[in-house]
Amino acid sequence: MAETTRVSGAGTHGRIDSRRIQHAAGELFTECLNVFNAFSNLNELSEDLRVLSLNAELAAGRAGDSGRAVRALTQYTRELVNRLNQARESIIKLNSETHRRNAAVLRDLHALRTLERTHRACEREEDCRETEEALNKAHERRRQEMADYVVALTTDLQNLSALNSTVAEVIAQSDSIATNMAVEAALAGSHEAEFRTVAETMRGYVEDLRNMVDSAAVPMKKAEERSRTLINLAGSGTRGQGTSHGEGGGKEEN
Amino acid sequence: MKSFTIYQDGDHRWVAFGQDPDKPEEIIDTNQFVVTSSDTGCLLDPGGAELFPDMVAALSREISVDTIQHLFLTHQDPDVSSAITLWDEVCADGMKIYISWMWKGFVKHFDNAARFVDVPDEGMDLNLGGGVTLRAMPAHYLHSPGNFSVYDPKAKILFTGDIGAALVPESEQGDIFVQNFDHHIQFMEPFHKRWMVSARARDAWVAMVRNLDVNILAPQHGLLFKGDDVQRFLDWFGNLEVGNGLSAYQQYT
Repeated sequence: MAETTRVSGAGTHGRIDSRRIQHAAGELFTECLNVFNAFSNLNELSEDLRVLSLNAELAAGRAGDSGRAVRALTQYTRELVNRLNQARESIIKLNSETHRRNAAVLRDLHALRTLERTHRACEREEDCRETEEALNKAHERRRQEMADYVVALTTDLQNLSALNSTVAEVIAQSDSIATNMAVEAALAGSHEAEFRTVAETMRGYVEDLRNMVDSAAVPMKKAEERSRTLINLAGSGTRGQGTSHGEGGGKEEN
Repeated sequence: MKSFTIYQDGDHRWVAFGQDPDKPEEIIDTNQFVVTSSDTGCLLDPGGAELFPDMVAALSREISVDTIQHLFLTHQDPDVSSAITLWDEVCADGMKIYISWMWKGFVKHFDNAARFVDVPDEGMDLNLGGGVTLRAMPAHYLHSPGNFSVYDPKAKILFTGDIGAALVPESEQGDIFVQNFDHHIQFMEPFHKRWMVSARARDAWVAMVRNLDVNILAPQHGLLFKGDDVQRFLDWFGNLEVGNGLSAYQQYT
């Protein structure tokens, strides 16, 4: 039996293709997981950068006046580390929310398939008009709830993209700090080797962070494409857009 | 899914649903019941999510689903409760779901938004209107620790959930009532020996039911007992050795 059912009285949003929606949701979820996996070492790199900045500050202290500029650079580095940590915490929350919303879409799809089977069973009966109306209402509530979760998944993806941009900004600024650190090393006399090591280590971390963002870029782009497909398939209506997405949609809780 | 009107007096009706020829083989056969009075319906153990489509279709032949204002769950098993979220979506707004206080928090995993009514251990009355009151009566530990039978004193029908259940082969199905009690024992004996856990609870339940005026004893699985077969069932069940799963412990003790 085909999974597509025209639900009378439910307008254009009544038609859903649960099999394609499930496939598209699965693809979106997979790409989101790939993005999250790309950032899996963010905590470690952030900690490495923090420890490096502490060591650089100690070295700057030992260098006295020659280390004054380096000390300022290390303080700026720690601010960048804080931004990375905030981004990491937000990514962890988004990971959890993505799992939750994907599971909610699957749950709603299961209920929609059962309601569609019920609708087909009722169509075989002679006088089932009132029941069909009740089924149509239930189907529309569920479909709208699922659409809200899909919109919420898309919003999460946009937030994830914004966090990716934040990390990219931190990389650019860290790269600039590493360059300035190398310049200061050249002027630091007997402390040159120590500061140069800090600058080169920092460049290594910057390179690792850049690889991280690059490896997230491809699944991020795919995820954005999948989310557009999913929204079209799920027939996302206007109720959830721009609001608190994907929470409820059924009867009022007692 | 077949439907059988087992009682009717004006708008006071009991309809049993079951013996579904389209039911997937591995899903246990179940009987679902609806009691109506004064345009109000009460579903008793309405079946699991897999049976929901055929059950709604069968129910709609009898009554409109939006007249269902009560849904009673004798216990928490999935063949009883797993479709409640769907029933809650298609039945009347504000429909109440009755279940033992001890299972509510568990069954809410299916549907937290549904309106549940805690049934206390001693039971409760459920008024359908038109002078019809259903009485939830204790059947704890038979098999579930929070378990009820539902008695309609006007129709003299006792819905017993898993008590009286039988796994009847399709070839033996046809009528909804037991035709030959002695022949029927083979289909219910293994179930009762294993699923029913407490002889003390069994004795208390049998004593309670002997004080009721029961013309039809209606279990959730298999065939229904009518007339003298009700007493035959109570006599048989009252003497049955239950809890035979305990023998599995012997090899470890």
